[in-house]
Amino acid sequence: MKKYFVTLTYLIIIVCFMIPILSLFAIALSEGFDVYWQAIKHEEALEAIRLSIIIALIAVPINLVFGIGASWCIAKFDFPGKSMLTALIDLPFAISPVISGFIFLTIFGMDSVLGSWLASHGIQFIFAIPAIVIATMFITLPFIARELIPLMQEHGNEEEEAAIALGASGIKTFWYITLPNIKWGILYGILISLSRAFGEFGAVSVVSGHIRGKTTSIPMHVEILYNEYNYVAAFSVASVLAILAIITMILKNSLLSVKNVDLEKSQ
Amino acid sequence: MTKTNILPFFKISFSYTIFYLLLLVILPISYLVFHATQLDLNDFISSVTNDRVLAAYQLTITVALGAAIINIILGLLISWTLVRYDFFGKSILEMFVDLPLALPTAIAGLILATIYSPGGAFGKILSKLGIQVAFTNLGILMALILVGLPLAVRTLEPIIREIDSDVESAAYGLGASGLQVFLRVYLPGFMPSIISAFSICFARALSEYGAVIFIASNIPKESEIVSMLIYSKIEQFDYNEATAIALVMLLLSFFILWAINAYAKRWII
Amino acid sequence: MSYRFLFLLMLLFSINSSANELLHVSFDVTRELFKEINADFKKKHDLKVKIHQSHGGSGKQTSAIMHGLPANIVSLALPYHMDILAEKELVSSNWRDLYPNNSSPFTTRIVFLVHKNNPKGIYNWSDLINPGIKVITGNPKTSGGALWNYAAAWVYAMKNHKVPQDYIHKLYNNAPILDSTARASAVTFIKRNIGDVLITWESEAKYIISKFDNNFDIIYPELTVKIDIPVAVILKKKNQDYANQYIKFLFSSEGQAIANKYFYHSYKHDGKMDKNIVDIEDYFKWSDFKSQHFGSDGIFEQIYK
Repeated sequence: MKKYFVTLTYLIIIVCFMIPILSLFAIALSEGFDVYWQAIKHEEALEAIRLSIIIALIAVPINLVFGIGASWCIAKFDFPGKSMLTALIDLPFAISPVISGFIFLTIFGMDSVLGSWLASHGIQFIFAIPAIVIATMFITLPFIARELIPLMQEHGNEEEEAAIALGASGIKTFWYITLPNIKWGILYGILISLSRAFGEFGAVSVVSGHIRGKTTSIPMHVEILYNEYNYVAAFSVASVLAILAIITMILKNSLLSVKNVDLEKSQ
Repeated sequence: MTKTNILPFFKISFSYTIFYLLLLVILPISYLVFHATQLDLNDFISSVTNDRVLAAYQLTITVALGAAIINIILGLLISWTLVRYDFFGKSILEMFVDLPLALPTAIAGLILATIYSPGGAFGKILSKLGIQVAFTNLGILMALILVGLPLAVRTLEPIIREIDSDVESAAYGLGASGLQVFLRVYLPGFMPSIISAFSICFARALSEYGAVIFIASNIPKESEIVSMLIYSKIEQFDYNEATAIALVMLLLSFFILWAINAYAKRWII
Repeated sequence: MSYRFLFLLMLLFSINSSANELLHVSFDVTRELFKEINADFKKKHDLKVKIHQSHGGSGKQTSAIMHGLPANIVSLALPYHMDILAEKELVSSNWRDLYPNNSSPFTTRIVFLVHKNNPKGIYNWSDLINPGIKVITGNPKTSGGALWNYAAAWVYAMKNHKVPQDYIHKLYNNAPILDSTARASAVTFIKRNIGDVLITWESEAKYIISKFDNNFDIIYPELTVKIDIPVAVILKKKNQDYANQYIKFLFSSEGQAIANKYFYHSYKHDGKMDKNIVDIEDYFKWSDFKSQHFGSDGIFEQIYK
C-alpha cells in the first residue's frame, strides 16, 4: 500500500509541479545566460519589476492590518452575521480577477461620476498606478485573514482571557500572548499575499492601460514579450517570479519546521 | 451561549473590519449590482442567455467541477501519503506542493501552454499517443487541477493528522480491510474537510483566468471560459453585457460560498 | 489612519507626471516598429523627453483613449478609428489635412499567410470559403487589422456575389476563433498552430517570415486593399511641441527608412501601381459601413445570431 501511494505521489508532484518549473528555467536559459540576463536588465523589465514592488509594498501592509483586525474579531468573538462576514472576506478570492478589475474599471472609468470628477481635477486614476493598486488590494484582501482565522480559532480564547482576568491591558495581551501564537501565520500570510500581489494578472490587465514601462506589471510584461514571439525573454522575466515563488516555498517549509521545533520545546 | 466575552477590542476591530470591507468589497460590488439594474431588462436577459454565454457557463462549470473532484481524489492521496508515511525526499515533495499557490497564474499558464503544445516536452510524448492537451479543453482541465491541488492538500492535511489511531487499530483488530476502514472509519470524519476543500477548489476553478487563457483555444461556444468572455466584452467596451454576465457569475460564486459555509456547519454537528 | 496615507500615496502617483513624457498609443502590430523609431527619434533630436508606448487592438485603444487613457500621440490602424476620436474632439476635425497622404506616414496591403508550400492551395478570397478551410482573422470590433480584413472581404463579396452576406457568413463560419488583436491572431496561427491561412498585412507577414525561418509563404490574392495608418496629435495635452516633432519625424526620411525595415511602404509609394489594389473609401464611407455592419442589426452581428 505504502509503496503505491508514495510512487503515485512522487509521480503527480514531479509531473505537475517540478517539470513545469524546470522547463521554465530550461527555456529561459536556452540561449545562454547572457541573453537571459539581458532580458531581465532591459529597461521595461526593470520598470515592470519596480512597479510590481511598489504595488506589493502598498497592498500587503494595508491588508496585513486588516487581516489581523478581522481575524481578531471573527476568531475570538461570537456575533450574528459572522458567517456572512467570513463569506464577504472570502469573496475576492472566489471572484474572477477579470470581474474584480472590471468592477474598478466601472467605478473609476470616465463614464462614472467618480471617474469624471477625478479627470476634471487632473487626477489620472484609471489606466494608471492607483487603479492597479486598488485592484491588487482587493484581490489580496482575503489571504492574511484566511490564514489567521483558523489559527486563532485553534488557539482559543483561554490564554487571552487568563491574561485579562489577571489584569493585563488589551494591548499587552495582544502583543505578548496572541501575536507569538500567530506569528507563523502572519509570516506565511505575508509571503502568500506578496506572491499574489506580484503575480496578479487578470485584474491588472483590465485596469492598467498597458502602457509599457509604466503600467505594466511583471506578468503583463511577460505576456507582451510572449506576443512578440520573444519566448526566451518572456520566460527569462517570468523566472524572476518563479524564483520568488520558490523562495516562498522554501521559507514556508523552514517556517513550518521552526514552528514544529518551537512546539516541541514548549512541551 | 450567554457567556460574556471579556476580551477587549471587539468594537474597534469589528468596526474597522466592516469599514474596510465596506470600502473595498461591499461598495464596489454594490456598484456593479446597481449598474446592472440600470440595464434594460431585455438587454440583460439576452446578454446572459445567448448561445455563446450559455456555452461559456456550461464549459466553466463543467471543467471546474471535474477539476475539483480530481483535486479531492489526488489531494486525499497526496496528503495521506505526506502525513502518514515517511520516505526519502518527503520534505522536498512537501515543499513543491505549495508551488502553484506562490506562482503567478499567468506564468503557470504560459509554461503549461508551452510544455503541452505539440512541440513541447510533454506534448511530444502525448501526441505520439494521439492525445492533444494544449489548446483543447483537456488543457483547461489540467490547468485548473494544477492551481487547485495545493488548496486541496492543505485543506485536507489537518484532518488526516487528527486520525485517532486507537479507533483505527480497533477496526483493524476487528478484521476490517483497509478499504473498509477507510470508508467506514475515516471518510465520515473527513467529510467536512472534503466539502470544504471541494468548495475552495471549485470556487477557484470557476474564477481562474491567467492559468487558463494561454492553454485554451478560446474559441467562442467551444472552449471559451466565462472569464475570457467577460474580458472580450470589456475589450470591446460592451460594458453592459460584461456587467450582466459578471453579475450572474458573481451571484453564482457567492451562493456557492455561502451554501458551503452554512452547509459545512451542518456536517460538523 | 492608514487611509489618509493611502490616499496621499495615490495622489502622488496619479498627479500627471507628464513633465517630459509622451504617451504614444498605438495598435498591435507596430510594437517593434515604434520601438526602433522612438529610439532613433530620441537620438536624432537629443530631446530630454521620454516616450511611452501602449499597444492593443486599434478599436480597443480608440475606446481606451475616450475612456481616459492619457495619450499624447495616437497611431491607429484605420482612418475610421481616427474619425471617432475627431468626433469626440480628441484630435483635430481636419486631421487628414495636417500631413501628407491623409496623415498616414506608412502604408501596406492585405495578404494571405499560409504554411510553407501552401498545402491547402489557397490563392484567392474564393478559396477561403471552401469547406474544411480554417481562416484566422481577428475580431473587427477590437482589432483594426481585423476590421480591414472584414471590409476587404466585403468588397470582394460585393464584386463577386449577388448576395454578399452569403460570402461573409461562409467566411466567418470558417473562422474558428476571433482574437482581439492582429498580433493575437498571428500568435494563434503561428504558435498554436490553428488555421490554414492567416489574413494579415503584407508588413506583418514579411516580418513573420523574417522571424520564423521561412516556414510560411505569402499569397497575394487577386483583390487587395490599400491600408493607411493614420497618426495624429491628441489635443489639449502638454508637450504638444514634442508631439508635433515626433509626427514630423515619422514622415522624415529617417522615419521612412525604419518603416521600410519593417516592411511598410512609404507614404509616397503609389499603391495604384498594382492594379489589384483598391481603395476602400472608393466603395463606402467608414461611418456608413459601421452602422450597416455593426451594432444591433448589423450584418456582422447576424453571423453570430
